[in-house]
Amino acid sequence: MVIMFHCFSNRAPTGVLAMAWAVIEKIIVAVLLMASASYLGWRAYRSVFKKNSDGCICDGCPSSASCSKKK
Amino acid sequence: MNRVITIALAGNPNTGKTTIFNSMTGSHQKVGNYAGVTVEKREGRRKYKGYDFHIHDLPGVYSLTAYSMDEVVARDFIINEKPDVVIDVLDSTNIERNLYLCLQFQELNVPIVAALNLNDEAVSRGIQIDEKRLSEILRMPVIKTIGKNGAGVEALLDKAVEVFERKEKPDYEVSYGHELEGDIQVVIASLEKDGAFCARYPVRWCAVKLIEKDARAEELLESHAFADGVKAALKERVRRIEEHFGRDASTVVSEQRYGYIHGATAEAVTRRPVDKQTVTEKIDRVLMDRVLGFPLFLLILWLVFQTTFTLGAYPMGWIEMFFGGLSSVATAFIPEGILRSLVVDGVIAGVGGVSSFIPLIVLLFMFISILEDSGYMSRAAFIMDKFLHIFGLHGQSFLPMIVGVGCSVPAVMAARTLKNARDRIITVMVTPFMSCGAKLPVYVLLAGAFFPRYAGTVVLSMYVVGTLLALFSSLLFRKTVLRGESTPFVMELPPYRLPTVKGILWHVREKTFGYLKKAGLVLLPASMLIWAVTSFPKPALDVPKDVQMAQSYAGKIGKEMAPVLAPIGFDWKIGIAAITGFAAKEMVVSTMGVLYRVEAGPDRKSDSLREALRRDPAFSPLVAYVLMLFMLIVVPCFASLSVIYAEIGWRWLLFAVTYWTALAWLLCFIVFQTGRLLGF
Repeated sequence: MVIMFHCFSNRAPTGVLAMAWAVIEKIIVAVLLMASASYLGWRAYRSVFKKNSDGCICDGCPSSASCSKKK
Repeated sequence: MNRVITIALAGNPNTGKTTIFNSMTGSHQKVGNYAGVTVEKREGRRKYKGYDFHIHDLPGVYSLTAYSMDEVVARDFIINEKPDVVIDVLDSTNIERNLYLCLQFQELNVPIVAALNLNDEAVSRGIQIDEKRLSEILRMPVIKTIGKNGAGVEALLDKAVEVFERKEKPDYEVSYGHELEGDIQVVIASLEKDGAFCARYPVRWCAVKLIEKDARAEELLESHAFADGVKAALKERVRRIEEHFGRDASTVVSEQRYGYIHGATAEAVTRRPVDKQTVTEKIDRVLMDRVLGFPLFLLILWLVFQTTFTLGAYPMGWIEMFFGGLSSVATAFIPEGILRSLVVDGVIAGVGGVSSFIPLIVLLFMFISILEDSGYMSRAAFIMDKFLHIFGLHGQSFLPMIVGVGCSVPAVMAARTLKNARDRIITVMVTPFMSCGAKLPVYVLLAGAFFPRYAGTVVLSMYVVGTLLALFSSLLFRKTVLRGESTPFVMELPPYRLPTVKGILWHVREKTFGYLKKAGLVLLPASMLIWAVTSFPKPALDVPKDVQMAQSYAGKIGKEMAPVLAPIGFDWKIGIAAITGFAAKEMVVSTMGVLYRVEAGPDRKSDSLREALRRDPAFSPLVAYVLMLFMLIVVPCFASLSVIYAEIGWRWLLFAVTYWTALAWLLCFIVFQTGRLLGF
């Protein structure tokens, strides 16, 4: 709603909308950052201690499709 | 319900096993026109005529004598997993050498179907194989195949079903001649005293291997109930063989096998004399020339890089424009605040910075796959072989180094083909000096920004410096911590083959998807985190962005590192970017995207990252080159480290990490300080 307001009015929200938006965007950013940190931490843990679902230890590297399975 | 048939796809290196595996299973495993592409077994499935085929692609090996890890993998699979059928892929152009392994499979008494692959090449060289006659002599089905177009693959599956359904014990008869057969029978008789042992292992194979003094067979013998009796009989027989033939018993066994093969091929193979030079010989006369070979190799590499840069510049510009547009759209849609900053300065700047290099990755790997599939890479290894020998490595170490141009992870694993543990450790420690595909965006960004006219040459220099460092490091290790001579190795030179469009497209698709996957799964969340550490804590007063960033967490960490970074010419931002490369090398680019976009401000949103770097006073062509050197030498990414740990253990890993870090800093210090003194 705030984004639509911003797009159509081409100005920043004011009043209650501005206060609500300030809270909402902080929550969105916090959730995104926490999700990113948890996901990367989980990947790092898995690359050391666990295999991926396909048994490959390096998915995401440029040669992942040719990567052999961990013994 | 379908019946399951387990197939082991085995054979010598570079006979086209993986091509047949791909044809059978419809998968897209990497194939290459050089030996040792597969270092571990892979599994694929296929439903065919009411059967479920579980197909295992084993590493290519020359024999089943457990010298190297790939031979152990292949041999243990056949002995322990007991596949229903072994499909032995034979190179029809070199049938004698390939049958040597086939005979060893026969000794294991496993059901075999032989695939006479590369039959088209054999015909063009005047080699005609009578597969029916060969099948009668060797007492196993023989099918002609051409892996690259799938010819004969279904016939192979049909024959595998037939062998599986027959349920009969194979009836092979590998003859070692009257003299040796008597000795083998004596050893067999002593082994047969333990019924449980005979049920577990093929007795004839054990007897022959024991006469060959095979270490693994000797280990197996320890589990025999009457091991001492067998050892006594064996000792007596080996002594007799060596006295009678005047040679080592293992040599005698090997000669007898070749004698049997010679007899079989004399009956089933005819060779029409081909008086004209083959295409391979004609090309090799130029490319393998003693004087011209090495300069031509360098020229080919230079052309690859220069063409990649010239052609790749156009689509790179389009992608930069796209992300510039995306940035403007996001700015228009999202109200000013931290969310807009996260999306524009974190996500779009970080991921966009890396994504613009996709065309270069596609082009470079397209050229590399053409060189690999054509057979030139094996020649490159041969040309490098004499240099490698001087530095205590041999040509076989060059294969992992070639693979390292793609990614260090499979490259480190490819070092398993080395038989000597010392050679393997050295190769693993020097392979990361080969610039992997992930380092390429860093080179391209910096070379494009600071050496626009000579970008291709500058990037090529990184590959040359990397190779030289690998050579000097191996010499250093060989003279100090890993003393010893390199083991002899004969380089295999496959014939030149015209790369197929399908094969090249597979390679390119694999690299591109891998790169995109990494951009989405690693670089996107990482860019958000980097944005956070460069944006927080927020200053109380409204200060310029560069001041705010210097006061951020990243700025504080960077300033702590300043005493170490300043002597090599890095300011805190370059230092932070370099450190993030530990997670993944492309991260350096996405981190710079975040750091420099944050600083550039909203009025410069459409500028490329290269322009932003050029404007930074901390950067100069000298600093850019030193940063490239640092990225080349310093510790490889996290994924590579975990594989290196698995391959050589934590002690050597710790040694390697210390060595890489110290060498990176020292070399960068020398180059930067010398460059500064010379006025660069």
